Amino acid sequence: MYELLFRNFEEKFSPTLEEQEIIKSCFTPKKLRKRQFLLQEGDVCHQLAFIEKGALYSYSTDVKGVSHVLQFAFEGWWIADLYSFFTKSPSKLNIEVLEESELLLLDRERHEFLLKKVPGFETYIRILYQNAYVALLARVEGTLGLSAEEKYARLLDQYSFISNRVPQNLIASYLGITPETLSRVRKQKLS
Amino acid sequence: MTFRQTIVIIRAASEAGRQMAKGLAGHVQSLLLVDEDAIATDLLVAEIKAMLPNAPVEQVDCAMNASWEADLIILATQPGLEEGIISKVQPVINQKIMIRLVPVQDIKAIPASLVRHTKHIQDLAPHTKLVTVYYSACPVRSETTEVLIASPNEMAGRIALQLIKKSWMKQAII
Repeated sequence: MYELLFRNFEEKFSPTLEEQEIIKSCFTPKKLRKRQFLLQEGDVCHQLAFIEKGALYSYSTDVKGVSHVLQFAFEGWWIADLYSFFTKSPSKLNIEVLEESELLLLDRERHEFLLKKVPGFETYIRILYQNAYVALLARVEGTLGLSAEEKYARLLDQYSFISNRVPQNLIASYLGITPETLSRVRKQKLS
Repeated sequence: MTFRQTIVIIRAASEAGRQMAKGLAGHVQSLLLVDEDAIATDLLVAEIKAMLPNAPVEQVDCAMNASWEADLIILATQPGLEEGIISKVQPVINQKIMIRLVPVQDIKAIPASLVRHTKHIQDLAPHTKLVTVYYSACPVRSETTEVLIASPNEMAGRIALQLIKKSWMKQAII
């Protein structure tokens, strides 16, 4: 149940056996079915979620009722609304399950506890947030400056598996293009 | 008020379990019912759906899977049978709230053995937020039910109180 989590840690630090038990005691195992919500707009995000198995995505809905995908998350990734988590304000996001998922949830109190109790965890989390911020900047830059073809190519470079696991309309939303444009881009790429 | 949670009731076909299920069905995001008596549980689901056609209630065969999905677990079994269930679900109830429904003869005189047993149960699941709800008589058999809620975790105790009010309040004296 915690295999992927600890493999993830090992890239940054090696918890002792005692630390492993402390870490395990802090996480809440949670299974979610396809199309269930981990977080709904208006609720406060109280937990960070690590994905042991499955896939989720986060999106916002504008005043016209159109959804805008912010993020996908797969095995070994984390997902949350960090703005809501840190400010304790109602989320503007929904986090929905794409594939049946097994998650490990970490609430605010235990997040703070682990930061103090397990020094390696603090290093791990710092790098996680660094990477998240860098990814966000890259995404903003990509959204502003790249063509539809370039955006799609960049996405496939990073995540070649994504077309097999995520519906095309969600990929299009994530890239900020219409499904029709994505379809054209994909046809061009194939030919 | 809706609890935006998935709740599982283990031993849902017991008297206390049935009462909780009927009381909570319209107020939770998802209600999973587990009992060895699958037929009785099926009938309970049908009864609830007859009252509330859109109630998000279903029978689940496996207590472990149901507890894994759940945010909160209600255990409506006799104290002597709890160990087996908790051993089975212990890996997936870390940091979750587990509410034990424990019938007693007299709410003002909880036997010491039951209090010791509560500690023993907590030792089996040390990172689970255990709430024990002692009740004097099941609502289905009595007009009023006296309830005592014992919880080392204040937040968990408050949530248990809200759930009791939703499901038993018409009859409960807390």
